[in-house]
Amino acid sequence: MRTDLLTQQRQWLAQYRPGLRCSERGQVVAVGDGIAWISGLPSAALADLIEFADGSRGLVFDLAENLIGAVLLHENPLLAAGSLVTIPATTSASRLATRSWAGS
Amino acid sequence: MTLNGSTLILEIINFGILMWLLQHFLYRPVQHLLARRQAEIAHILLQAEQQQQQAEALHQDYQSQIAAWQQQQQRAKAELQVELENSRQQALSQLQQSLQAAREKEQVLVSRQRQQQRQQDQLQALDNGCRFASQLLQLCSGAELERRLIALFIEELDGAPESLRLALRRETARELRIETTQTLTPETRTALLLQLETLVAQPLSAVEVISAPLIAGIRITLGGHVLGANIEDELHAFAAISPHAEPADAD
Repeated sequence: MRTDLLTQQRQWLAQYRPGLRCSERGQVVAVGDGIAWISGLPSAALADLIEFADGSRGLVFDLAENLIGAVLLHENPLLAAGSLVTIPATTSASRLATRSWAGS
Repeated sequence: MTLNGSTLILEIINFGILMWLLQHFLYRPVQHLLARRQAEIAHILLQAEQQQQQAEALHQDYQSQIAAWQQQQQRAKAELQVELENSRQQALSQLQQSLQAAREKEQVLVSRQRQQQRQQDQLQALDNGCRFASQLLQLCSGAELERRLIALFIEELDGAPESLRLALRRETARELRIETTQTLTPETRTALLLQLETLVAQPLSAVEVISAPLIAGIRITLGGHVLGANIEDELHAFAAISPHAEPADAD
């Protein structure tokens, strides 16, 4: 449901309680030819959108044992090995990543 | 002249002969002539009467045709008027519809622009609020706030859900990266490690890092998982509220 920002804020604040936050992060191991190889992001799934710290975006296309392959949909020139990677909050696989365990 | 019997008889005979002659040679031809003439006249009169009747019939026919033409003309004129009126009404209706559509389009455009402006203002206000809170908390935070956040972190680790425990136990990394804004006391460090080892069900080692951007609190990284209870993450969570996002799950 698309709601107004103020409504979102009200809902967020009504449920808000500071506490333990858990997220997932990955790190770019190698990048080239429009493909980035990433370590971490344990709950990433195929076709998940991922975001890099420099603003680049990618789409997961390969899940190896310790690496994730992502096609870069938007590549920032600053993207390099060592960059941090997260799964956006709207991606289903990131539910664990963005959840606040407070009050659970 | 003397009138005697013979003369009278002769005169009568003479008159009779004259009458016969007149009757025979004059009166009959004249009568024939008159009869023929009368017949001709009657024929001519009959022809004239017929012609007059034909003329009257033609005249009536012409009159009726003229009347029909006039009616047809009136009807055509009326139909033309109706068609013109219909065309005018149709054109007027189309014009009104196009004007209404243009008005609605303009209203939608204006509404959308207002909504976009409102969203931009809200996002800007949110950003300003986060900056203000960040600056204020950077000044106000200290050891007490950090201690309370770490205590909250340890307390909530104890009640972490099974899904988080399983996810952490699947991690192959065994080294923790602990970020704080102030050095941990040995007691806190021990309690923290104990709690995490219980959670992961494995022995862990730890690397401590002082990280000022946290403002206050703690962040622990184990492999691909990051656990934290710090001001920076809270502010990021608040700033991440988007007008287009689905409401976040509140577990």
